[in-house]
Amino acid sequence: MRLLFVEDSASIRKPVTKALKASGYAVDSTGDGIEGWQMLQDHDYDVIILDIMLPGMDGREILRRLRAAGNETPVLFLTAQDSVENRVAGLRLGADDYLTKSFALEELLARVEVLGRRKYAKRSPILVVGDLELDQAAKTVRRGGRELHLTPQLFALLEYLLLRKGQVVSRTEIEEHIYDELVSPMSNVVDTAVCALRRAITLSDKSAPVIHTRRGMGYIIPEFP
Amino acid sequence: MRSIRVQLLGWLLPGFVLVCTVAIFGVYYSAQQAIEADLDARLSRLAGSARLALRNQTTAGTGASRGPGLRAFVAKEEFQSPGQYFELWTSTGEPERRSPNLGNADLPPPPKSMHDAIRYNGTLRDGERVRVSTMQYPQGGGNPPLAFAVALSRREGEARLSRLLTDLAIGGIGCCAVLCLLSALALKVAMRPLAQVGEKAAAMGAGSLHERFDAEAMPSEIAPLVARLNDLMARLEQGFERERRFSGYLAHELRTPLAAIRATSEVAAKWPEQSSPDDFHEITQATMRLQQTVDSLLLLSRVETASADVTSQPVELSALVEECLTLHLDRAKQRELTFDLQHDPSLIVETDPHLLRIIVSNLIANATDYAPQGTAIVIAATNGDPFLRVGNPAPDLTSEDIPHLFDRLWRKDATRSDAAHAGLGLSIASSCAVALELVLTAELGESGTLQMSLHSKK
Repeated sequence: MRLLFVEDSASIRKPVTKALKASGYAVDSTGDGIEGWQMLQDHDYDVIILDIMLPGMDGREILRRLRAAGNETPVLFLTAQDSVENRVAGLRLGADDYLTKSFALEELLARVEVLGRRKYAKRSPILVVGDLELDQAAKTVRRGGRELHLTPQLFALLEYLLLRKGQVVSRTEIEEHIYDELVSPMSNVVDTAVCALRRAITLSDKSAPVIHTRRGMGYIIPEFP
Repeated sequence: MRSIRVQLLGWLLPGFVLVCTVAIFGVYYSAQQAIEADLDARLSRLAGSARLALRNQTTAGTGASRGPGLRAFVAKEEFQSPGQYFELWTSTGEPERRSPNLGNADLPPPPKSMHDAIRYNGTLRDGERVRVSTMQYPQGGGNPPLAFAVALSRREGEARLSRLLTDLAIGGIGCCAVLCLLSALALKVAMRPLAQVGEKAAAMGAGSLHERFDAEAMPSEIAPLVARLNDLMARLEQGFERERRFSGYLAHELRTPLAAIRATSEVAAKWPEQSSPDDFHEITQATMRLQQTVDSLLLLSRVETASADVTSQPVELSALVEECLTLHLDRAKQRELTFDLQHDPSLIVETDPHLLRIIVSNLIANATDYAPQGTAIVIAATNGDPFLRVGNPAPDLTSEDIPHLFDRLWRKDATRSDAAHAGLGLSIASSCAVALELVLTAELGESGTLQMSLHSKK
């Protein structure tokens, strides 16, 4: 999943971005409100984390413009303003969650995860297809009861394909949601990653294929493989 | 508790009773005078009739014997029943003729020896009160004058007066009761705005300080009070708003470095391979920023309670200014700022040097940090009022910002992105000035120059 994190304090932005990336998210971050708004217009993010007091453009203004443009991407406000009035105002403006500084990273990651599931209308953190099971909360993948060890990027790719189960996902969409703006994937990077993922989730020659290729369109994990 | 309503009613009710009583007595007295006048008029007419009867008698007869004229007069129907009386006395004072309704009784004699016609009140033997008119009738032929009297009963007049008195008493009591009721109602209506103000004030809380009393709907007597209440509410609202802003700023100033420390350390603990020496530098920076904010807040708190510890001594102001200036020379050089120092080297002020140093240092630091690069800062320490001025160009400031300059943690940059300042320097300087019984003011000149001035309260 790809996130946007807009926070003007570099001393917060850097460690939180590290934590999010380490948790398998593709993260774009900025300390400026206007730049954040431009990034929102250029990319389709799965979750947005916004500070309220931002130079250039206020976090509330970014959210207002986002919702006015019909963008329903879940937004989490991360701010030092903790009064009930501020929380209520933020939520009424269309924010999906509100977390006050200082916060536990685990809590932030859990909330981001919930918001990511909400984007794909999933309630359970466990995504299942056939004998393959991915736990978004525990960050584990099991197949036929056996735990598989995936790199964060392969985990993110599998998670994204499972969240879009039954839908053909184009290479561009995968690039958009798995890679952040600092990575400029070559055209075959996605194919290579999918190939690596297929190998990683195949236990034996008898294992049923989970990821199918739709030529010229992309990849799909069918509802019933 | 003293009640205005009870006080007003305490004055009004006896007043109404007094006015009604006086009115009743006035009406009663007037009626009594009218009845007396009517009685006397009737008595005059009766006396005239009696005199006419006596004259007819004396011209018809020879004087000594009273003939049919007087008999006919006395035989009138009015003299047959009580109400109207007549009596004639001989010149020796013996009763000679009475109206039949007197029987053997005499009319009450006049109170003194009679020389002329007089009127008086008297009581008949049966207790009936009468108005008597007695006069002399001269007889011709050298005979002494005859005395006669006519009388009219006062019963009817007194009965009318009695009825009138009863009516007036009932009317007076009724009038007093109605007036009291009306007064109570009027007071209740008149006092309603006060009660409404009280109810609204009681319902007000920290969340409704934006509300105001409707002064225009109030009676003119209460309107000034309500206007003052509205002023008080406005000041309270400003105070609450200032405190709310302060809480928000403080939350930001304390939580942002705390969040940075926590996030950085948690990432380092959970993903050690991701951490680097830069992270520890970030933690140190955030800790220092936090410490700076806390130290400034503690200093502000100490200064605000420092009034009792102020020690006064002669201080060379220009030397103190130069001492503070040297602390900021590096920063000024870095930003290509120049100082225009106008000072009187002999100027001595009687004050606390520690607190004055904090003021001067903060004013110079503020000017050094916020003056545009390459501009000049004017510092004037002269023997006048103000005795210290620090001026610098401030193109970003507006006149709306000036009242907030001394607010704790206020910053022009609402996003508070600049971690180098907390927004406490001018608050500390202002509090120090208060502790020294000085006044620190800020003015924005037309050319966009911010002028901070330190005045003596005197």
